[in-house]
Amino acid sequence: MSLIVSNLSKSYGNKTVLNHLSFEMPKPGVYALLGTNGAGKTTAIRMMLGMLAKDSGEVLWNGKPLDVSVCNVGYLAEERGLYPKYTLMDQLLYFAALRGVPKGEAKKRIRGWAERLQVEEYLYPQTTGGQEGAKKGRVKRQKPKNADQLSKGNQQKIQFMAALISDPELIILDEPMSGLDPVNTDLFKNVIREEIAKGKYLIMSSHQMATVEEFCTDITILHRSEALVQGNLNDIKKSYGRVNLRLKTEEDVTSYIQEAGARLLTQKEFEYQIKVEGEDQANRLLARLIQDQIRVIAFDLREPSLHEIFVATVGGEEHEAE
Amino acid sequence: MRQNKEGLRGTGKVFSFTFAQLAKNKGNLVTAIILLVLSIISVPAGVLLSGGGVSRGETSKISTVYYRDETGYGVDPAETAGNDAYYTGTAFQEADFSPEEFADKGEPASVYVLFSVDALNGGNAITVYRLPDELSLDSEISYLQDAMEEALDAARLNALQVTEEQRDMLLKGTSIQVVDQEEYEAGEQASWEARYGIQLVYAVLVLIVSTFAVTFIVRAVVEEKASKLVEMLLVSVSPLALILGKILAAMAYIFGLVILLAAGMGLSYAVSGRFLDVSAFTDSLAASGISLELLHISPAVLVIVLISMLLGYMTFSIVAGLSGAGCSSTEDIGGASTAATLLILAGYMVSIMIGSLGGSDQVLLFSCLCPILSIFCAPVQYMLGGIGLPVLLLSWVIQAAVVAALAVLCARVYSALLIYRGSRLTFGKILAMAKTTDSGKEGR
Repeated sequence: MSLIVSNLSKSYGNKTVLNHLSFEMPKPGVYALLGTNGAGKTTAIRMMLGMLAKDSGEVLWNGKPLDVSVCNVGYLAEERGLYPKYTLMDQLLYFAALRGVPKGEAKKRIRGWAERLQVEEYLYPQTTGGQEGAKKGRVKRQKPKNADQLSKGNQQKIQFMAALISDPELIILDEPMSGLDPVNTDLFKNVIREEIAKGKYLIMSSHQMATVEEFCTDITILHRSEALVQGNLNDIKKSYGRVNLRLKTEEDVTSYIQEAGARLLTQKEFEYQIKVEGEDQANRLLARLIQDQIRVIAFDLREPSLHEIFVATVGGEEHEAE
Repeated sequence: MRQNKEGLRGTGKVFSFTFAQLAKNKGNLVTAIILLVLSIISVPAGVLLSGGGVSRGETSKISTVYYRDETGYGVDPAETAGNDAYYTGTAFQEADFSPEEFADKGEPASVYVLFSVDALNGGNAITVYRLPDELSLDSEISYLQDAMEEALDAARLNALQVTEEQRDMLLKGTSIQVVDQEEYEAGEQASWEARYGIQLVYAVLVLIVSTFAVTFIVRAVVEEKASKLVEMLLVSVSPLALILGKILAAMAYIFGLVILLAAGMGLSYAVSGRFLDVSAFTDSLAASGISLELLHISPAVLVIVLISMLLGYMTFSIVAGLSGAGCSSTEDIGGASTAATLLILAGYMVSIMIGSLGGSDQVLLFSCLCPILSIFCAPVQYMLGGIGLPVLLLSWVIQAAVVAALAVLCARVYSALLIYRGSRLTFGKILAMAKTTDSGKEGR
C-alpha cells in the first residue's frame, strides 16, 4: 500500500490557500504536516478526504484515487465535537455504523477502547447500592452519560474512539493532542504507538513539535500555502548540520566562546547553550578549553530540533516578508 | 448513476440515527403525548362544547316541566320534547299556578317554563325557573332551552297555518349563493363555507407539518454544525445523504405523529359514539356544507393529498437545511428558521385569501401552478373540482422540479456550507456560492 499526494492546489478567488503540495508515503509510518495557523494544513487534509474540491492535483491510495467510501479512513478533525445531548454509546454506534462496522462488532470494539482510554464509567451505566442494596431491592441504575456531561479531555477520548472505531488503515489526526493534560497526552501517544506498530499509515498535523519529532519519519512544513521544507526528518536535520552545542564547565568560559566566534544563546551558571557554525568551530572551542585545563563536564553537539527548524524556516520567511 | 448512488450512501444510517434521537427526545415525547391526549379527548370535548354531550340511553334528570303559555300561539312543549328520547322520563305538565307559586308547589327536580310576550322588546320570551336548591339542574336547563325554543318556533309557524313540511324547511334557515352563468352550467358547486373551510383545514395542516419540519431540520443541522462533528461525519457520509437522512427522519416522525393523531381522533370518534350523541359534531360540519360526498374522499384523493404534502415538505425541508447549514452557532437558529417560515406563511396566507375571496379561473390556475402556492392550493382545488387532473399533475411536475433544483443546489453547496464558519449566510450568498464551481464537495 502507498499514499501519494501530488500537486494539490486550492485557491479562493485570487487567494491561494494551498500551492502544489506533494508528498508520498510508500510504507506505513507517520507523516507530519506542520505549519503556522492558516498555512493550509487543514485545507490539504480536507482536499485529501474529498471534503473540498481540488483545483488541481490528485491523491492516490494504492495507485487509485483515494475514495473514502472504499479506503477505511479514520479522521480526527481539528474542529471536533460530539452531539451534546445524545448518549455517548449512541454516538459511537452511529459513527461505527457509518463506517460499516456491524453493531455487535462495534459494541465489542467500544468496550475495548473504553477500557484502553479509561472512559468505561461514562459509557456503561453504573449501578448504585451494591450487594446490600440489591438484597433490599434498592439498586439504582444510573442514566447513560451525554457528551455535555464530560470534561473536554474525556470528550476528546470519545472523539478519538470514534475516529479509530473502524480499525482504519489510513489515520488522519489533525492536532490530536491539543488541549490534553500530560496524563491523557501520554495515553494518546501510547495508542498512536500501537497503531504505528500495527502498520498503519498516519498523517498528523500538530503544533507540538516534540510530539511530531517523537513519531514522525517524514514532514512537510507549510507556510502561507507553500511547502517550504519537505522530506525525511533525519535528512532535514542533517542538512542543518550539528550546530547546537550544550556546554557545561566548572568555571566561567564566556570569553572562550566569544573568542571562538560562537553565539551564546543562554547561560545558567556554567551551563551554556551555544549556536556554532559547524563541528570544526565546536571542536576548536573544546580544544581551547582543554588546552587551558578547564574542566568540561558536558559537551553535547547535536542537530537542531524540529522546533528550531520550524522557527528558523517560518520565522525566516516572516522576516523576509516584512 | 453510480455517482448519484454513492452520493446517497449512508442516508439510511443517518435516517435511523436521527429518527431514533427524535423519538427518544424528552421534549418531543412530551409533545407527542400531549397531542395524542388532545386528539383523544377532542371528540367528546367538542360534543360537550357544542351543546351535545348526551350519553346514549341517558335521560333528563328533570322530573317535571311545568309550562304556561301566555303567547297565544298554543305552544306544546310535550309534543316537541316527545320526539327526543332524552325526555322519556320527564313529565310535561301545563301549570295551573304562577311562577311565584312554583317554589311552594313545584316537585323536586322540576322546572317551570313561561312562554310570554316580550312587552319591552316585542316578540316572545322564554323564561325558565328552577327551585333554589336545584343547582345541579343548570346543565339540564341549558339543554332544555333549545327544546323549548324549538317548541315556540313550531307553535308560531303553526299559528300561521304552515304545513309540517314547510315548517321543517323554515326552521332549517337560509343559505345564500351567488352563481354566475359559467358556474351554473358547470353544475352543483360547493358552498363558499365549504370551499373556505376545506382550504383552511388543508392549509393549516400543511402549515403545521411544514413548520414542524423547518423547526426540526434547522435545529438538527445547526446543532450538528455547532457541535463541530460535521467534518468527522463527512468522512463517512456524503453531504447530500447527511441532509437527506435528516429530512426523511423528520418526515417519518412528523407524518407518523399526524397519522397517530388522526388515529387518536378516529378512535375517539368511534368510542365516543358508543356513549355520546356525536351527531352534533357531524351536523355542524354538514351545516357548513362540508360532507365526505363533496370531497369525493377515496384512496386516490388521499394519495393526491399525500403526494402534495410530501412535495411541500421536501421543498420547505431543503430550504430549512440550506438555511441551517449557513449558520455557525445555535444562536442563529431563529434567524435560519425565519426565512423558511416566512415562505410557508406566504403560501398559507395567499391560499387562505384565494380560498376566502375566490377569484377568476386564471387566478386559480396561477395559484395551482405557482411553486409554493400550489402546495397549499392545488390538491384542494382538485378536490373541489376547480382544476382537473392534468393541471394537478402539471403542478406536481413544477413543484418536483423546484425540489430537484433545490436538491442540486444543496448537493452543490452543502459541503462548503457545513465547513463554513462565520456570520449567517443569506440565500443570496448561498446562491452566489453555488455559482462558483469549486465550492462544493467532490463527487464520490
